[in-house]
Amino acid sequence: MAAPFEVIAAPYDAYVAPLGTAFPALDAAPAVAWKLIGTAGSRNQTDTGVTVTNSQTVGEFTPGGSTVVRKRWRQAEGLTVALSIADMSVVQYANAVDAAVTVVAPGTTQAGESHFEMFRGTQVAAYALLVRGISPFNDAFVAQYEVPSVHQMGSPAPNFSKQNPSELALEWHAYELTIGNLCVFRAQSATHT
Amino acid sequence: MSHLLMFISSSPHPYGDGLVYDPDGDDVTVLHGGTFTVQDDRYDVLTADPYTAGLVQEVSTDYSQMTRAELEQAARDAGIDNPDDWEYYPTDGSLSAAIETASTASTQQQAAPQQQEVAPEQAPIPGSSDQQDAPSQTQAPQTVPPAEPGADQPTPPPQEGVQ
Repeated sequence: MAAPFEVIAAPYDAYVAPLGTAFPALDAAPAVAWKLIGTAGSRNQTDTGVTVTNSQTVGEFTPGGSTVVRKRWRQAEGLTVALSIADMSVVQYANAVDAAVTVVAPGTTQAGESHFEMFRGTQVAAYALLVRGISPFNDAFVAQYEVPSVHQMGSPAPNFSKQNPSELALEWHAYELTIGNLCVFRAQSATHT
Repeated sequence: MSHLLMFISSSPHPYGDGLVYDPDGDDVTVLHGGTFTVQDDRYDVLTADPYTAGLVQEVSTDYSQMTRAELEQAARDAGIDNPDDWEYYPTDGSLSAAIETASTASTQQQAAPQQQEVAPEQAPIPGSSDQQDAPSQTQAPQTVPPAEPGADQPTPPPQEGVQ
């Protein structure tokens, strides 16, 4: 693509990793601990892509002596990352429902298989999330959202038919694990000197 | 001959994942970061299957014999600076796997050849999964080992041309 670079029309990849995983430098590929969402990343995403939403609730005070708001304050805020993948691999499906996978190696009397239990109990798994694509400075550069702590809050409902591929709808909600840090958007502007 | 192996799960939240490495034998499930010993025939089965081969790693240390305090010291020795943080290492297995991958990363990075540059016309779209799919990419792909938190892999420089 060419200028204007700030007009971005390209897919972004999403990665999850165990809580506390260091975020990659902009000019480095993610470490192996970062697992692509979708076996082939954006090539498993549906064409609606990745949506990053900043939400907020703002309170207002309109005094009795006026008809106009005199004060506003933020009552709540949040950040969500949503995407759908056409990928029913066991690891991706298990990840979508916060389930642990059991891999059974092949034996002489049984085939190899992987399975997971969908009962989840009260504990909600936490992850680090990385969303990465081209930079608004230059589409040869990288930009990324660095979300240190998220929960998977989507309700995947894959449909099995001959009309469309089965999809997993994912929705990651950030939370404040490190005080004052919800998500950093970082965009590369130049190469190394 | 026997082999000491560690199960390293490929999932992004691996702590509850398990591997039944010998369903014909004692049918034991080993958790992420757990070590187990197999003989040649079972080792061949595990490493011949491309799926399970990616989940096991031959190791020299049986971490299951170590206390949490010993594991934390070993982790510090391997360059992990927060091994006592239970938020990040909630199980002994998660810490064992982190030590093993950090140690392997350190060893292999020392042995890794110098990275080659990529011609601009071959460079993949930065930051996308194209980077991982691109067959022309020369980012020392197999020389950088799996890593728990930390250790980034190098990537080729992006295309020329600045805004």
